[in-house]
Amino acid sequence: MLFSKKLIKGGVHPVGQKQLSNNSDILRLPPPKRLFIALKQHSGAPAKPVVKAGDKVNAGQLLATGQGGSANIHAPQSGTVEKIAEHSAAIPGGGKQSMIHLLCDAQPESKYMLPPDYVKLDNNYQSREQLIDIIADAGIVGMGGAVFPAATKLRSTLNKDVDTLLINGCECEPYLTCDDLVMQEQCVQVVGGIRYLLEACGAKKAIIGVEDNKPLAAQSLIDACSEDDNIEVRTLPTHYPMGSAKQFIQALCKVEVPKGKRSTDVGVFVQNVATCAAIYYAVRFARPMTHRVVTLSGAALEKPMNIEAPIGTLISELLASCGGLKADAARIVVGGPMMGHTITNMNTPIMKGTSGILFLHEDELPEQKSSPCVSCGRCVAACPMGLLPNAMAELVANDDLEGAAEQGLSACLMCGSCAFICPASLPLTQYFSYATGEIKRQKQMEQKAQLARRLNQQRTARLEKEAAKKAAAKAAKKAARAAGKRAPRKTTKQEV
Amino acid sequence: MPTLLLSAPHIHSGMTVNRLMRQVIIGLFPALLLGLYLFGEQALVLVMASLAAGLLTEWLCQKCQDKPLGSLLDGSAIVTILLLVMSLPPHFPWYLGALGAAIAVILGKQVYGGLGQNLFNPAMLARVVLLISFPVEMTSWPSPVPVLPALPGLNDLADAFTGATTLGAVMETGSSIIELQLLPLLFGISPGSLGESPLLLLLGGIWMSYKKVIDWRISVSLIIGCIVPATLAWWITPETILSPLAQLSSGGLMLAAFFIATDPVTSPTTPKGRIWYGLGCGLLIFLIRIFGAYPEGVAFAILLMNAVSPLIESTSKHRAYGESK
Repeated sequence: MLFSKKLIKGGVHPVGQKQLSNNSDILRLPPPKRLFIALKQHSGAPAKPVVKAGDKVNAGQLLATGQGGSANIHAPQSGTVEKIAEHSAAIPGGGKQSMIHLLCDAQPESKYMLPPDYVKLDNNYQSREQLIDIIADAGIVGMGGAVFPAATKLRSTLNKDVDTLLINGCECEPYLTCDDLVMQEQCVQVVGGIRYLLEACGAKKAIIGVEDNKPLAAQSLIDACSEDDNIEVRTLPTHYPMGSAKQFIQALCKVEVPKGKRSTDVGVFVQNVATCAAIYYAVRFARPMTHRVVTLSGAALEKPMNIEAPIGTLISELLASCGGLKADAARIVVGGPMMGHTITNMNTPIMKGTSGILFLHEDELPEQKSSPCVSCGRCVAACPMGLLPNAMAELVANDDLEGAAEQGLSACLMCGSCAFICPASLPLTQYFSYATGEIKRQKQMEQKAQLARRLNQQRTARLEKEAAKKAAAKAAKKAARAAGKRAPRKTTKQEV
Repeated sequence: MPTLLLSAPHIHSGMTVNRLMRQVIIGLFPALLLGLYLFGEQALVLVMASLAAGLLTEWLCQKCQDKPLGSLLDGSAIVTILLLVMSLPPHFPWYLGALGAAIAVILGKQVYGGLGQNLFNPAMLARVVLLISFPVEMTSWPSPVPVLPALPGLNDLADAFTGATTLGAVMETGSSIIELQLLPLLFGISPGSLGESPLLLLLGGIWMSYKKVIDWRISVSLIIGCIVPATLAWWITPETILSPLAQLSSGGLMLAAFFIATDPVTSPTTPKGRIWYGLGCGLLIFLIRIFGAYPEGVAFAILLMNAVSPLIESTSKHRAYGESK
């Protein structure tokens, strides 16, 4: 260990806790009675609803179109739109969001609505653009964590030279096993999706990276892609945050994405394994992204497991399917324990990016009380981005946000490695997310102020111009009047 | 149902400052026990008096503060006092030891604001204050007399040594031709500070490195920084310079390498900076041993390097991900 070259910088080794939920098959739920489908599933503008209250919808029917960085949203089940109204959402900080309330049919009429010209769709796209359009129509977003529309990301490759497609099967967050189970149970679909993705991004080869704590998943994928010469499965050491795109690229391609650049600038395109399976269903069966596999885990849960649930299922219903709680959940986390956020309301639905819901017991939680920093440097050693968390945190604590930005705050992944390792239990990640948000807010304020200033200047200029024009006209009139008094009317007419 | 929204990460490595300090104390213990065994009850009284005085001072200081940093039993004060005591002559008057402990806590740590704020290593600061204030007491070295004659050979070995430390003898006579025996050298069974047994300190240090309590970079570079120039000098003038093995195993080199220079508060946080810091400490120890007015220079070397530690830290920033090489 001491002399072996590490694949990524820094990082930590949290206890995996994967065994809690990875030893049973993915459970498929009967359709719930109601679904609450948020119009804002991820960053970007909320999708624009195309249905209204009272509409009957089929499974797979378009409910809302993506706009301004968001993706299409489809109905997971057939049913009736009750209303489009606010409902509590499982978002950081809590709060409500506009959601489509869908009353599901007790007996779903059709599994999925297939378009009449469906037969033509199957594998019959004419160009990369068409293939990307199919993926866009299906409302597919990255299911790994960033929740970015896959089609938007793919379109950015059209004018770039992508050499390698990297498929992220690391799932480096502890507790989460949804990707693991998808790789095991849907390996054929994952590989099928990779074949489509290779065409869509124009890459010559694909590498699937799987952490070595998921040998079954890796083996399933190796079997599934045995026919493909251009798809390779590689196991990576279990090391958090291996699954972060930048670190994943560093580990597999030995290149770093330069500061301020994107992965496509170094000729790589990264996508998550579950997204590949979704792309396969979308292209092969015209099935939009309406379901996802969610890990339910944590020591407070009776039966931790993975559930394939329709988007919009309430967390409370998922909890009931897992046999409820066996102990007090001291903290409910949406996402992984390293980067997820807490919620206090279980009457909230899952979204396209919800990879896991953790019901953590008191014993699993970190020390709450911080002690002073002893500058032990563990955070410096743990930072995968090579930043100095101790120095940045001190600057943020002293409200020197500019200083923190100079130290490279914007490069922070919020991966939590520094706070995980900190012997003083300092909330380092919290400092950085606060500072990032605050800098963004200040920038917005500044932009707003600039806009206001510019508008004001324009207005003053316009008013001045108008006043000048008025004065000139007045002067001209006066002059004309004066001239009219002196000169005969005829000359004036000639002037006009 | 939880009612609070809390920030990620929601799990922790379990390493706390208290645990770190506890492990340092465990690492120190073998050498401390051997010291007590060799130097008898007077040494035990010194340790106890210093601990009591230091902890009392720490408690009083924290009482005086509205928001004290750290707590009485977080282990940091105990580590500081133990390090101070282990670097003192074993039969140093207990009341002066107590005074030293109070100085370490007040002038070494609390005047800066408490845990994590101090610029200089408190134990070394106090040791230098004592050395300058009480030069006679600080340089009288009793021969080790084991409390229990456990090993028959051990007493004979111990009897062979009198009044001066190995480094002190070389300094006084200007000659490195003194009789040295391997076993007492390695175990520190010779006149010297209370807890100087090189082998036991090395063991404790290796255990702490393995447990990732300390960074091996500082320890290794400190030893290299001292031993490489010392070996070169020994090759040139073997009659006035001690052999590398004797350099390694005498004085406070091992204590410095694994327990003092590795103090997180007063050393740089960057990996590269730690190597420079260690090399600097080692080189200064060597230079003071050879050219200084004192036979041993650990305390001065550490304090001098403490002073430039922030400078080293700010000039040894490593490359961030994605920055041009």
